[in-house]
Amino acid sequence: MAAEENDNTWISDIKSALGLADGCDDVPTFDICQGQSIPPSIRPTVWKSCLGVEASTSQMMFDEIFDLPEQSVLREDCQQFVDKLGNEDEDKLPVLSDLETILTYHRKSLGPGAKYERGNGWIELLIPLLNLQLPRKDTYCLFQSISNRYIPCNANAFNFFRLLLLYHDPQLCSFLDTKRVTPDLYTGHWFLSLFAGVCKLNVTIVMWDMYFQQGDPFFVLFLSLVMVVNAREQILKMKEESKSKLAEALMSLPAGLEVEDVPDFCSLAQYYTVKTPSSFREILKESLFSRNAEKSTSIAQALCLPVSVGELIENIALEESEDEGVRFFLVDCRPADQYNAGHLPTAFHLDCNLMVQEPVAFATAVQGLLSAQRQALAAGSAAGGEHLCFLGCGRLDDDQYTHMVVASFLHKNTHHISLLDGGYQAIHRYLGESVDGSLSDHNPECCLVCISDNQNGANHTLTHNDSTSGSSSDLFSKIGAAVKMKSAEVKGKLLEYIVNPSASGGTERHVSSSDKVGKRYRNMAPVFCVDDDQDPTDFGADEYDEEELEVSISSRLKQPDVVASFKCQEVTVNNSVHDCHLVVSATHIYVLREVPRSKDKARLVVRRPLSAIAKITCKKKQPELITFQYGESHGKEMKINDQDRFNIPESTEATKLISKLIVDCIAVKDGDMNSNP
Amino acid sequence: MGTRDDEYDYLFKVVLIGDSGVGKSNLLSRFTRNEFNLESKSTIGVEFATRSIQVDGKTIKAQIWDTAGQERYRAITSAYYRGAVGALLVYDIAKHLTYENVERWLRELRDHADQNIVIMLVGNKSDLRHLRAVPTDEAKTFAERNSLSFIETSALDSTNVETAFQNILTEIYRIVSQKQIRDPPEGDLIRPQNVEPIDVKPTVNSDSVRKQCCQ
Repeated sequence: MAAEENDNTWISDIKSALGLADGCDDVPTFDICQGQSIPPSIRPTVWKSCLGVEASTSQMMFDEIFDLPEQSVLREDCQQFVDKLGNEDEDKLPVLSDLETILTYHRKSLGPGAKYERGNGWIELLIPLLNLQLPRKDTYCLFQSISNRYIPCNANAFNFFRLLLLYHDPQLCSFLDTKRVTPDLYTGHWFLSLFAGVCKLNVTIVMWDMYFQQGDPFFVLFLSLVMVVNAREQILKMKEESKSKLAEALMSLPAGLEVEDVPDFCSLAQYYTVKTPSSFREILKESLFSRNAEKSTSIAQALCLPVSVGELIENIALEESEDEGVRFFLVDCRPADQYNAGHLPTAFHLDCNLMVQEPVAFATAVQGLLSAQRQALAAGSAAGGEHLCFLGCGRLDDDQYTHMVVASFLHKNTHHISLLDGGYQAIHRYLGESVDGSLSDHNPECCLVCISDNQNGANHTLTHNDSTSGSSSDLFSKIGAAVKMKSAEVKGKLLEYIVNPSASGGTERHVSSSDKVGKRYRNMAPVFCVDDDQDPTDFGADEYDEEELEVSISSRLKQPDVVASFKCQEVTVNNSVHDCHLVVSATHIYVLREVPRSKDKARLVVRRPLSAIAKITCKKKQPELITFQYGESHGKEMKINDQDRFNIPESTEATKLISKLIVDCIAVKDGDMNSNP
Repeated sequence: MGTRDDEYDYLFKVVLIGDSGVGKSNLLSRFTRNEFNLESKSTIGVEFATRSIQVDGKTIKAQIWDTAGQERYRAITSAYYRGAVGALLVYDIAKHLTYENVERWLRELRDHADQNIVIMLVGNKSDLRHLRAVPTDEAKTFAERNSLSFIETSALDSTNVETAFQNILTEIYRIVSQKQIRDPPEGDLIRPQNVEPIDVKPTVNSDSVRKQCCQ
């Protein structure tokens, strides 16, 4: 009884609302209808309202000239369709005439570039509208509105649909990929006709009721997703079938829907919408529903669903109590030294180099990560989430291991895998000036983005920030408060799982308070010489053997900070020799070790502040063999803790220059210290 | 260095490339684990495995990167060509299109890989005799014209898989070791050339460098 009463109220509510509404705003309609199907009597009004079709188009005239090059095809198709509808003969003619007139007009309105093609969904899309029995021009307006708002017009839709399927059902996606059944083979028909081409007419109409109230152009993708995921058992059983048979079976799935199924179907689609990171909307809106959009290769070539920095950062700042929707578990895949030079407080570190270098240790680390994820979830921590979001550096070449780690998770059919669009670089740029406050352990002297920004002229970050900092700054304070404590908690637990499997310097994975990496490079960029970095620098037994950066020699040598460079050979402890360039700046020495077999590529193997050089020695018999000894000062004495040896043909120039610079450097430093009270 | 659990004298990175479905992953699993999977799944992005072999008494560790053949992964996979010293370019002897695309893959390699990379053309699925679409001679001629080595394999019945990897790794080893004899990149001694007194060396060079950079 109560329900019936309710039904009646909402119908009268909507009637009055529609009377008042200005026609473009579909929100009140949805609020009142609550996604229920609409009584036929008011359906035309509701659809018009939802689709923004009002009396605005009274000027429109159908010219009734049928002179398209493809007119005969269009006419034939319309005829066939009308025959299939099975109306009385006297009804057929007006329907046929409506179809052809509207479609011809529509085709002309799109300009000469467009073309009617058999199976492009136009006829299917128009039939349910003709069923409303509205004046021809109203029908056309509805048709045009649906077509513009809701019909994806390029292959990006298929690529994105595949990513969605991969996100929610990786096993099924992999199965279809293996069978070479690409989404365009079965969803094309669904997308183009908004299911009207496959569903029964009555089902289509009820579905469209929900659809237009929802007002979400991406909804068709999620409806399709539900369609496919629901049939997964049936699909997975068809592994012996041919590709075309499989595609056909998939395509006809919606035909089985009945009117009663529609509400469940739609609410499932809504559930998946909520459980999907939403930033694809910004990334894709233009390229999916605009006819002029260029083909977006980023989505066609994406390894998995992309997530924007904005969404990630906002997500971290969310209150813990908000259970619905997506919560991310952030996995930072950059090499340890980069992670240690700055990372989001909630980011867990998984050193992807391990995968190649020590597969067993990597497997252990992954297990640890998953346990930590479970624990974080159980604890309701801000760092916990079911959705694994991976992040790399943000440069394609340097992220190959990151991609491989992500691929390995996908290969294991892990659900909810996404990759941060633009990686750490994007986070850094997004945070702008609040980067120091929002990142943990951020050290501008080691942070690669800071270093490269600094080298490209500091303006870059500043100009970039203007667009984002305003909207984001208060978010960051929230992140700071909500997240830092929690993440420390969870990280503690994580440390128990991930034990360092080897003592080599390159594979350390986690920051701890005793970590020395953050303060290794001093006085590197004068701009950043403002911190409390006055305690003795620790030069640890770091061998720089595996994790060094690859750089281009020629471009490095051209950088403004270079005072001089010398070709030389590095002589390592075990007496092996590498061709190198010794690069001297006003504050540091660097050694670029050439990468064998590739021209102009080198690895940065040594980077020492001049102030750390305690002694430069050469052998009498071999004047070109120069040894640099590094140390830290204890009072007046220097304690030597590391050394490098080089064979420098121009050893005299090199040592002279470096000695002079060291003196200058110390003078400056002393001056600084004296000027400080 | 040398701290890894397994010892080796040389580490060579080799990539497996070629159209989707030609059997790259099965070649890899046959070589590294002696496994073959009839229902193997399409590769996502890139996968990776290693195996060590002996050549001339030296241990050579092959790091083999199995890339996805599908077009959608092209942007990601080409990054893996960097630093590879060898490539197995695989096609399916029963699918002519995969052979036609070999040229395209060679272009990919030219664009993204080291120019000295050793390439071996591999006609896989040689067990499918009755379905053969690419004659052996045709492929052989093509390989010779493009100075590639050539072999036909079957990951299913193991024919030539071991030989293919052995051959390419040996070829790489020969090149690398000959190079070392020609101009040794490492040694226990520093070559005693240019033993001039320190003060005689001209200073012009370093000065000019300094001027360029400081301004």
